Amino acid sequence: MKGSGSAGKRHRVVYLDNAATSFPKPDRVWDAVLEYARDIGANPGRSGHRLAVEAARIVFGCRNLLSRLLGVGDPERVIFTKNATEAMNVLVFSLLRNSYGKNVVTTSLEHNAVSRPLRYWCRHFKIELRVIPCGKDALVNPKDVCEAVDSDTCAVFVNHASNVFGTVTPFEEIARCAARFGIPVVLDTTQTLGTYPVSFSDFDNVIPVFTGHKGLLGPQGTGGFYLPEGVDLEPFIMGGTGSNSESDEQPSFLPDKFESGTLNVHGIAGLSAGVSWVLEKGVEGLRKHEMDLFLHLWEGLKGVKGVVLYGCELWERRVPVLSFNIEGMDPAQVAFSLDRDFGICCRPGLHCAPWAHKAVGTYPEGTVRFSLGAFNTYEDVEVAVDAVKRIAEGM
Amino acid sequence: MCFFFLFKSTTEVMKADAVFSKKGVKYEILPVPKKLSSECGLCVKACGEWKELLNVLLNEKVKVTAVYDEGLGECWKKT
Repeated sequence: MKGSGSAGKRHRVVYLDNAATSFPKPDRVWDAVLEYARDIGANPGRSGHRLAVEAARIVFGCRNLLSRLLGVGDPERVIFTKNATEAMNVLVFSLLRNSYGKNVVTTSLEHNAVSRPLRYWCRHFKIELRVIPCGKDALVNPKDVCEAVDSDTCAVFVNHASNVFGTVTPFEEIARCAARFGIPVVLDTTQTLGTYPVSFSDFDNVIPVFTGHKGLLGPQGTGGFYLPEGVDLEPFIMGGTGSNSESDEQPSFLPDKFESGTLNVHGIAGLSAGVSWVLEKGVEGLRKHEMDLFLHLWEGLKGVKGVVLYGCELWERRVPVLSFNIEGMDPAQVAFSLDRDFGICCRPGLHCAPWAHKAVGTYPEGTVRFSLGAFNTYEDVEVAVDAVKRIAEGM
Repeated sequence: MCFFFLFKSTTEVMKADAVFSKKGVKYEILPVPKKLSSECGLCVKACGEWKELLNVLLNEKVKVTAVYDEGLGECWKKT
């Protein structure tokens, strides 16, 4: 996709690390950050002067755009955190704190942002952690997750798409079976929101967690979650909100209940511009562009002798994240050569998801991961395929 | 006549801001007058018939907590 993102001015690179953070971003993202920083700069919700009101408008505008993208109607239920990891920690703690002796259900495709707080708090609160394994094709069967859910389950945590293998777990079936027990489902949309069509309007027990700096094309330091009406939680972080200032009790209303301390308005200004760009292009259009490139990459690498590709070939259950290895080669060595010799930026190793690598059989070495984004081109893919071929052939 | 519209949070003030702006209502956002008690530091001062203005906000699901006249007499309070 061309026209509104400029990158590589300092380094001429092929950037295939969009699952870590998207790059480049649309120019309007940086224009919005700069405009806020230079011309507005005030703290929203604290003072009442015109600049503070303008800052509050920026934050509210971003909530509105995100609620449109999520297909929900309540912008005040969009809660900002500094990233998806912080949102996950808030949710893990809040959902597990009163569940001593119960169980929590999750999948082996989870990122450490989920698995680490789950492991810690499950041990602390004596909660059974039920990890549903994916197959060797990195697919989780929603029925397996549903079978593990019972009346003693306090929450379900599901990764919508694996950050390692790009495989999608359909959350709808899981949400419906959890709803029968009144159980909330926390959905990690870090690899899907903005690039994979979703709508949460039919689910009042699904809490989507998002990051701002991947498919939403915003700056790093942005993220959050959407709290549906059907779920009531206690906050994890408390403090000043600019509301109820006479009271030493945390406000009970949203979003203030979960948003203590000054927000990252610079980041939110940029995120708003990123989300507006995504909405203008359309998630379906962005997905088509990225999946066309992904299939070109998949087919290209499939033809390279010695290359092993991971994950299923059900394209409707894939996002454009591709893990591979070259037989007999260390993934770190391959990624280093891709960077040094070909200017290709990608990520090797375990990608903060050891459970996923163990399930698929790529632990402990890991894989090399190519992840495509809105600004990648066919030329990028061809450079990458050619580079892998040359490395596999011994250059 | 102009009236003070009070809200729980800045987010609700921003909702009112968007609604009044869209409907062409004459209004200002300002700090809550000291004599009034509000959970949020900001309020909206809008001019017109207060019941009509209130309904405009409530119909758009803006959570108004109270309405006062300029003499700070209470016109309406959410129960």
